[in-house]
Amino acid sequence: MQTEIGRILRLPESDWIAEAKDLQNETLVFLTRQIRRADEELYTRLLQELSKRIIRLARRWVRGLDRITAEDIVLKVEIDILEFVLTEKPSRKTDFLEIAFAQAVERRTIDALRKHNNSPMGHRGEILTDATDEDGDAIERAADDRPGPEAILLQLEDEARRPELLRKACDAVKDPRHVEAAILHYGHGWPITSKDPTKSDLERQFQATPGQIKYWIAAALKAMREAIGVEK
Amino acid sequence: MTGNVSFEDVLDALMLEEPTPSYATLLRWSERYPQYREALAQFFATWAIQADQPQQVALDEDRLVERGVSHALEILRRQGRLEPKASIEWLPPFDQLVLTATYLLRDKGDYVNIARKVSEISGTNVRLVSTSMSLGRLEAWRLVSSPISDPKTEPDGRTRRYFMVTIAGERALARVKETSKLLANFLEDFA
Repeated sequence: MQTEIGRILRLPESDWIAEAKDLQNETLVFLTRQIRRADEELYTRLLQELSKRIIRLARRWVRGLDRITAEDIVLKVEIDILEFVLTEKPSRKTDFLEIAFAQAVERRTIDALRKHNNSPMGHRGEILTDATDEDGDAIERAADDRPGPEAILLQLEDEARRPELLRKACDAVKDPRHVEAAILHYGHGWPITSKDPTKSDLERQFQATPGQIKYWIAAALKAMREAIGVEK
Repeated sequence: MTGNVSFEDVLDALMLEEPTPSYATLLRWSERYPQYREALAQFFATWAIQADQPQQVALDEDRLVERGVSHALEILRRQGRLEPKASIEWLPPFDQLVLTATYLLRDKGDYVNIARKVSEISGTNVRLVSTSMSLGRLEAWRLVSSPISDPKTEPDGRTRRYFMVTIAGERALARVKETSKLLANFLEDFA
């Protein structure tokens, strides 16, 4: 990056505009911060390129949301990053943008989504009122003679097929928490419940009973099994 | 050591160190920053769930870019970092010559070879001091800039000031090209 910055600084401003789309993210941040005073056209072009990159990096982390919410979160992240790029007082956060731009965008997008999910606007999924439907044991027994979670996970490990399977599972279940619980449990090793209060578990994460969570996971697995075409 | 760190700083460090949001990683970071245990769990859950989310969202990228850039330009305006447009309506003839010579030398124009180029264009022997004063004026008007070169790239290992035409300078050159027949001949490739 140092070499790229050195090379660009020796070029006329109009070449910065021409080359903006090929520059590394961190070089763009450095140049935008470094020029203390410049023509609006130069700033506009550098900022447009930075904005495009922020949006493209952020969009991956707002999948599955409705368009209005997704755009709202991406815009917040974009403005937050641009404000840091233009702030006159350097800080650890502005330095971070100059060394790890993509991670900074991803971190802010995931955190903005976390905050959104915690807000009254962000509580997704319907509340199931029929407690008998959430008897995890019953669902697990009913599913016994179907391929077990391992078989489905083997299929899920096939990265080429995973998005399609998860898409079908998301379509098939009414409550997105079902798929989310399955992803966390089988995809990332979260326990349903932990006796150690200092360790995270799905019970605390979703503020639901272990029986409810087992039911959600079973429902998601059922949808996934159907998605991969294994029927009883 | 970890007591005064903000949650955002913790997340920045986390994103640099960890490629994936595994449960084992979450436990490690929760142990390191117990004060953020709950927020870390939520962050990891969001990260893990979104990493596997298959459904793309169609975003209006142009509108988002426009809103972000317009907000950023407003900040720059408040900070006084935007050059006023078209502040130079008319350039004295000698400064027009110097600006043209600087453009023709691209990023290789120092005091000496700009003076030579001006002499070549005008057909008269131009003094170095006049060129230097003109470059000073052009720089004050932000029509040229002169970053210091990297000594490693210079044959004699010494730093130099190379003059380059700025975007405002290019706008001024466009007017020069329209109004000066002589200089228009030298600016044929200038769009």
